[in-house]
Amino acid sequence: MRNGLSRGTRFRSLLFLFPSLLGTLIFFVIPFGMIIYYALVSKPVGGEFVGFSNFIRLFHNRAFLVGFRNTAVLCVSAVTLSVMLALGLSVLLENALPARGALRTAFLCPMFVPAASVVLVWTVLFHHNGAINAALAAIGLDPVDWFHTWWGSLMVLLMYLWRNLGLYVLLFTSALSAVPEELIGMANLDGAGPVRRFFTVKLPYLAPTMVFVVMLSLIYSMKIFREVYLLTGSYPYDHLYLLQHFMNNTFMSMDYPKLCAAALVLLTVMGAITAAVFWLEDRVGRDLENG
Amino acid sequence: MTERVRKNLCLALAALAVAAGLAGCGGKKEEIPEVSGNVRVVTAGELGAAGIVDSVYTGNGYLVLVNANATGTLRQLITLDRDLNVTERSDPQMSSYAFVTTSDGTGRLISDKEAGYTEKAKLGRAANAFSDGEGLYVYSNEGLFRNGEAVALPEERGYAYSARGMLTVGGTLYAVLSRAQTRDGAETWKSTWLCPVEPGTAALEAEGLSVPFRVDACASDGVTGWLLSDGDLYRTDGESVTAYGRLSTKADTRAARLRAGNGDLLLYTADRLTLLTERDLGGAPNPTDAPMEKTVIHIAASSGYYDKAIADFNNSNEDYTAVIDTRYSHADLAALNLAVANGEVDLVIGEYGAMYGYAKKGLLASLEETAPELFEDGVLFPNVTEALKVDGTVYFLPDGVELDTFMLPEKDAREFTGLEDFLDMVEETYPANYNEEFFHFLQVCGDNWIDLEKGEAYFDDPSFRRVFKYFGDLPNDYELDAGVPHPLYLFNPSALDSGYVPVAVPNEKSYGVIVKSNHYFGVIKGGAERGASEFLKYMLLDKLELKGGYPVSKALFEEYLASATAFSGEPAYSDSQKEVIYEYMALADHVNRVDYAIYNDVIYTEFMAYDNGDATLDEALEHIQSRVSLYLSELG
Repeated sequence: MRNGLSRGTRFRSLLFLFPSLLGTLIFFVIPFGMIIYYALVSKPVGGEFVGFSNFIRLFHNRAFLVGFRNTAVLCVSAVTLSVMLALGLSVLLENALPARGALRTAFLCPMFVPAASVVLVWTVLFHHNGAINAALAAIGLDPVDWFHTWWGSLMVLLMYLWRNLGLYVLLFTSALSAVPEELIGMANLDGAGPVRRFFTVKLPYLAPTMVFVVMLSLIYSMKIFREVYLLTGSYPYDHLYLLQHFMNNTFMSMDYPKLCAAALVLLTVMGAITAAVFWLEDRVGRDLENG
Repeated sequence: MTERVRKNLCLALAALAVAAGLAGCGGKKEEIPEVSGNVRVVTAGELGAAGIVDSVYTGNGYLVLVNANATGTLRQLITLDRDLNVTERSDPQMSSYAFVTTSDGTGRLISDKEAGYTEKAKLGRAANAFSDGEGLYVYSNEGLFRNGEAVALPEERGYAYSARGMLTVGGTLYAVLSRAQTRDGAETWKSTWLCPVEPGTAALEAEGLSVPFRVDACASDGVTGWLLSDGDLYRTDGESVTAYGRLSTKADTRAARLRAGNGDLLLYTADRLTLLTERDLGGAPNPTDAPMEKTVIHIAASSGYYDKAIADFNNSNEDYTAVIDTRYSHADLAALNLAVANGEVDLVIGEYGAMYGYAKKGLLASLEETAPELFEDGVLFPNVTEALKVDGTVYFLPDGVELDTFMLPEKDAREFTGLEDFLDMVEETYPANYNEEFFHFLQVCGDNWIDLEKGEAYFDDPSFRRVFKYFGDLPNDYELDAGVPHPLYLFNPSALDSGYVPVAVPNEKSYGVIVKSNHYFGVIKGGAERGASEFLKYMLLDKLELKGGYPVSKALFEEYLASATAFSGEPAYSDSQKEVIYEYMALADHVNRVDYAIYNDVIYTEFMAYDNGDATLDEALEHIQSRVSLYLSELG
């Protein structure tokens, strides 16, 4: 007998695990292996092994580089602004604001609006002859071409924040309410002001939630492609062209080796970011435990 | 056997049972044999019509109601014999016809007493009528009516009930009642019943024989009831429903009409009549019979219906049976891509962009190797096959091509040296009104501004600026609505007799006559062994079921030009027009390879922005250049 389990128990355990292992193998391991394989051959059918040339081709592809740049800029700004704004708003909501409950609900509402409706509203707002430009004209400013200039990135960022901020605020608010009252009381006795109390007592306790929000906002910032696609189609202007445009269009043109190479690059980058975030959380958690 | 072993064995068996259950839940459709052996098909084009409205079996032959012109207002009644040959036609007139079928499956024109002009006009478009000798039933999505009185259908919140047809089997009259879930304006089929109908029935209940599929159309000859669902035929005796056979062409049958009589079945869908005779139906294999001995050629099509050609091929070929078993819309190209990449099909029919992609990805077989007969001297137009080469090899061919050129009044037609020369003429002769359309201009001249080989766009070229500005400054939609004249013409061979002549505008790459088709045929690698190239050769050399343009086969081209007739019965082309077509067919040497999606997605939006005053000319051109460049970069 090893590991305290009899052979029969291990056999039964494996038997029960078998369906889920089979599912993992079929739906995750094998497709992943196929992605690696396709990324290393010249074409899907009867292709030859070409080493890393698909990756080299990818890094020389202007569309990929533009998409990667725009996606990276959007992700970094979305994550940073999401965390900062959501944290700030949850701290505000923690205080006795009037109509606090209604505000929380209002923040969450955009999440329940269908993407197509959001896009429709955004089109009306940001069209060349839309409400925003009308407002700009009313105060004597020139209209902005939202869909064909870098202002488009700002428009997408605004849409992302409007849509998702409520959830992050909710997460931070519940995390803030979980900070032990005794610690805050002790900090008060030590004469710590509100700012000091926030940074030295509350913030370390928010670290796990912050990691969660960072991961969530990273994932949601990648998903904003749906709205951008509905707004601008398959081939938008440079500043609105995201990595998912590239992936989508490459899939349609059946360039699977290039598509798989791009997927592996994206996976590597996302994996590295995730590892870095968890490493950071681990460090902060250890500091917290050590006082 | 110890208790432990028995327990483990039981667990293993349980797991196997679960796995088998899961495998069984895959939703595999019931295997139904093809009904493809002896069907006969006649198309609207063959009847000299613009479209088929309705048809009915009369006992001796068939009555077919057709649209004699494209607007659908000029109708004609055609009589066909049992072999679908035309025996009589009425004079085209603004008249209202409608058919009624009876319990033995035969049909006739509804008399003026039975239905007035308005009812008949409506019947011809949307509904069907059935007579049981005592009452006239009219059924459509709007409901079921008997002698003008509505028969109430069940009402249920969130669901829509409709009568899909009527049957008489074994002396009992049935209404086919369908129940669909309605959500977001769309209907999803949920249930179907064969509901018995008594002469005094004032309301239908959702009861009777339950039919486990959506019924598109139905018919009966008094003895057997036939149900059609998504290309599959089912038989019913009122007690049960059994699968009978699958139509090989996999046409969309949701708007189909089915007639039965004297053992025959007449199906109308996609502007063609398909006839399954008593012999065919009697001879069709039952699901339990041995499988067909012929090798099946599996075809995926994203464009074009070839029911007639497929039926004729299947009738004449002893070794192969062609079946269109995968059909995709243009919007569902990704699914077609997967079917082709997975080797589910032997032959693919699609548009240029898709076929080019398949060739580049190594999915298609070289036609020079798999169908060398096509490339022998004098068989096809060599300039056309040359224009369609991808990396020096012909991977796909159309059955017919359109010749894309500019149309000009004869007085302005001359030999142009190039695009600038042509634009000079346009701006000078037609400063405010030119009979061309911007997007057609782009299609004919697209290769002046996009080089797919180099992956470069030249929309900042002065010639494009001239074209863009010229068309952008013509009356826009609002002005057209206000009555400003701006006739738009596209190149169309039937327009040849209107005083216009086709004119080629040469560029650096080509003579200026573009080879164009929406129906290219490509053999998937390995498909030739399963007869795909046999079918391809048949389509290109033996059979003429053109979707427009001229045959690529030289022999069929000659035959087509000699025999093409207008609806009036006069020859379609004059001798001088034939000369021009001959000349251009021999000189066409270029394919416009640019994906039309780019035109729609990029250039259209920017053109409209400029046209509506939302962007300046420079901005619009810059946006086009930028967006198209991105597209070209993606391809690199």
